[in-house]
Amino acid sequence: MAWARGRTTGAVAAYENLCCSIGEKPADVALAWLLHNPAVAAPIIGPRTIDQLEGSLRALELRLDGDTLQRLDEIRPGPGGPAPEAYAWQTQTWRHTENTMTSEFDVKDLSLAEAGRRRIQWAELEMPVLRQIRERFAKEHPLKGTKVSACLHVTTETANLMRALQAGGAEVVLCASNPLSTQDDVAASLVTHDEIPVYAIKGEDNETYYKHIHAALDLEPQFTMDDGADLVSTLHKERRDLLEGMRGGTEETTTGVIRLRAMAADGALAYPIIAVNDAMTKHFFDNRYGTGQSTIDGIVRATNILIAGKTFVVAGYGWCGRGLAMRARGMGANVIVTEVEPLAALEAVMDGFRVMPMAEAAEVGDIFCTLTGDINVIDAHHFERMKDGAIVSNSGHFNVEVNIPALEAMAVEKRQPRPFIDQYILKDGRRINLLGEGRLINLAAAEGHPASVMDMSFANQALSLEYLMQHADELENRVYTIPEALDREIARLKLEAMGIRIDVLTEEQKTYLASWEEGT
Amino acid sequence: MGNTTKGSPISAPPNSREAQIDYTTLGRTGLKVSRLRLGTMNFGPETDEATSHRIIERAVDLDLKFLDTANVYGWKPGEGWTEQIIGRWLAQDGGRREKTVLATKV
Repeated sequence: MAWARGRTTGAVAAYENLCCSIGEKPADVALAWLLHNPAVAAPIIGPRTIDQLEGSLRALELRLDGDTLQRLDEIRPGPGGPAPEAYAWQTQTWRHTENTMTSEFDVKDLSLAEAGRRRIQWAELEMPVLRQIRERFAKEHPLKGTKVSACLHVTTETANLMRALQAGGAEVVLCASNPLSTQDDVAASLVTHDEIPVYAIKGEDNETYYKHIHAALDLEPQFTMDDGADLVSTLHKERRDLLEGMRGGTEETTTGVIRLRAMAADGALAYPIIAVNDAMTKHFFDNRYGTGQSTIDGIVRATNILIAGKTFVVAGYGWCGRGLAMRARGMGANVIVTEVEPLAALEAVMDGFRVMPMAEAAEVGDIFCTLTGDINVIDAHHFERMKDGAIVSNSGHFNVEVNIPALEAMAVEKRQPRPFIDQYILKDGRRINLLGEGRLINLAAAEGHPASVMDMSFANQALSLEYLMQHADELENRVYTIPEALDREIARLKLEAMGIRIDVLTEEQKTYLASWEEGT
Repeated sequence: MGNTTKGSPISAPPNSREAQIDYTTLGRTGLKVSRLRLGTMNFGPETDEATSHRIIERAVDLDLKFLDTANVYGWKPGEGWTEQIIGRWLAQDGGRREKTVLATKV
């Protein structure tokens, strides 16, 4: 047994001496020892030859006396306690270990892992804030012993968040927050390189999608991390047995916050949630610059059209809509904004955009994109007015903003000219092109937000979880905004990482700002 | 990974000629199995098919009728290789499947 090294060497030597003293081969004694144990049903031999098979039979004849058995137990103590219970306990421990070794996951193809790792590392270059947090987590282990079920878009940026949580000591399971947004190579890498169980396959059907959410909940978490509140709502509707163990959660996106606030208002929310979306370092940047750029990216990748000179209709002038309108204009489009809020509509007008009802915009638009969080923003009566070849897309969280069933009903034929484009032919021959099945186009056809903006969003996620770990028990069961100090700290870290310095107030300036007495 | 055992209960072994192989009841399954189990991990990658078949035959001859395999055995050259070798042995003539208990992992 030359392979035995270190701590085991002494035990092996003692064992071999014992075998020698009774004049038997170590392998035969080992097998006989197992056969003496009533908790062992049938030990397995693995012969390569008939000789080896027949050699094993010696163990069957070998009767170890009480003294020998006692000495064996001294050399290598068992679990203690009577068989088989003591051994059954050992089996359980082993199974648990096996689970944490991620023998259970559901991803498309593990052979993609290496490509995934390279892309995760590429994204990390653009995520200096999260990297700093991960390095601190690795030293301080603020999440030690906690279990987190995460339901997020399975992208390179999310992978870096998962690695940060793991470095902080959390046991993490990840499932997809959208059936089309999963990057299969990233899922494979998390399973292979980080031993994080992932349940996500790009293009999975609805049934699989919810099966994966349940699999993530099987972890029996204390914390949830959501993007669209599917995890939280499944937990409250179908897995109420797990609510008792819950301490808190975070929510990434506007759509999820709207759902959660509705739950809290009904008194249905069973634990406190921090709305990461409400952080200024999230929605000022992620929703505006992230969605703005990546939505354009998704539309261009899906269609390969020139934006310049087109009439581009942006539905909704929230942070996402603002970002998209700004970038579309930057690329030379003639941008129209549709809104329902007078204040937001007025801002759009003052920002220099044309504002009109969707029914009018439908007649002139070349490209449409919805970013509202509401349903049927583009409906049957809008399709009826659209030009031949109109391109319709959505960048809101759910695929409900465009009334796809209505479009299906109106169409006489459906073609697929390119991946991510469904072309519906209407009775009069007009063609309406729906991108990415109406799912959020920046993730369906592109890669979601660039890493740099997700850096701040996910820094908020990581720090919110740390905050919940310390304060969850003091919070009520409602939706909380991120503490402002935390927000400012993330902005400071980001600037620092970008190498940008800013002025600081002088004492004189501070006094002036704090004083109500001084005027001109 | 569960450890599943498939097979029909077989009665106590007939008289054995050489070493005595005890039988035991496997958990709550009602299956009677030999207390020594023939592991087949080497069948295919280490031991060729003909020798593998001779080892199984010798084992059965010795009343060791409890085979253990796994879907991944065969390893790099081809997962499932070992199960195929066992399958071809079982298919050779009648009654082999009924005489043996086969454990595998899924």
